[in-house]
Amino acid sequence: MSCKRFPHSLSATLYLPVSFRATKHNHPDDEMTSVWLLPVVTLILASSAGGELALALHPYSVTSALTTLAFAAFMVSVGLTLAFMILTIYFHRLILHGFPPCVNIISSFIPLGPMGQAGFSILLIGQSTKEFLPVTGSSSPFLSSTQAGEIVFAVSVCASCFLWALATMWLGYALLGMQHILRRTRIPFKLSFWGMIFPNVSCTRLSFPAGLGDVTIYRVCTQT
Amino acid sequence: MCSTGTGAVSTLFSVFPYGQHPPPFKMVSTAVFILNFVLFILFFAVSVTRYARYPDLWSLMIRHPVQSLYISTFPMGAITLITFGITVIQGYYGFGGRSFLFTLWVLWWIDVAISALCCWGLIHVM
Repeated sequence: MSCKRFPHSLSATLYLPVSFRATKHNHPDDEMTSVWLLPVVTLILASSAGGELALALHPYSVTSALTTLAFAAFMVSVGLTLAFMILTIYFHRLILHGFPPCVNIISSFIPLGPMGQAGFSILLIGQSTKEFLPVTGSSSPFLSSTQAGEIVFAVSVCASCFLWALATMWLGYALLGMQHILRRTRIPFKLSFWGMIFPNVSCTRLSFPAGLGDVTIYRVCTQT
Repeated sequence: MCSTGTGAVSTLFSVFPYGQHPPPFKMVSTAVFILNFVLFILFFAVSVTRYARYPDLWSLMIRHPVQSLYISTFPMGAITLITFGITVIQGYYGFGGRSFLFTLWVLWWIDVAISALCCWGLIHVM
């Protein structure tokens, strides 16, 4: 079954000037899918691994753990912000052109990935900060503060609840899109189905701790 | 399409950070990890061979507006392996210890570099 692309009758006006920087590609508006999120999600993923790594490294080397944590925080900030921007473009696409046709609809699950994974990563950062602070012998007012760790933890739980809510929102749109396409055509079982698994899993993974705020379950999740 | 295959690997892994409490979960988790690891190596080898034998494909692929984005599944696949190393191999089985952990740490830094390259590089050529 072939998926015909939308006609490009309006191509001249629809060419979206997505000049992030040098545009070597032309991106017609209606061909935009959430696959664009992929390069950005890598940073968020690396960040969540960094959070776990920081917790594991802490007994061996405090400096390494703190450095890892700082990089994790940097990466999740950059990744999440870019993900929000790309999701805005995606939302714009959904409103103007409807859901991606045929099997491309599977990509509508991808937004769950950055939301869920970033929430998980932020939660890990909060947990690590709570454990690491105050750093003994540090002259920095932040690192030596007795309350900073608790505050960062509380804020990160709130932030990940927020992201969990957003992930659930995207799940709603993805399911609506699925039923919309399934009522009209049959979706061939193709390689793109892989794209469904990771985002859904990262969303579910976040649902355990953030949904409940249950620290016991959360600790099991992080295996500390 | 090889790079998409690697993406498949990355997603495959994530099924099992769930292996939490009961040991059977851990076993299933470990089994999927081994599968993931084998697939990752396989697809990586296939991709490297492919681009080594047909270097023209690389620039074609980078220029492809959608295919190029799938390169980023490579660091994602690698990070799932690293995460498993930290949480289950090191955390649950207690294997390795210090040197193993620091090896993972180095791998993580390499992954961070590739991720940054994907994020900045791919969006730049977009």
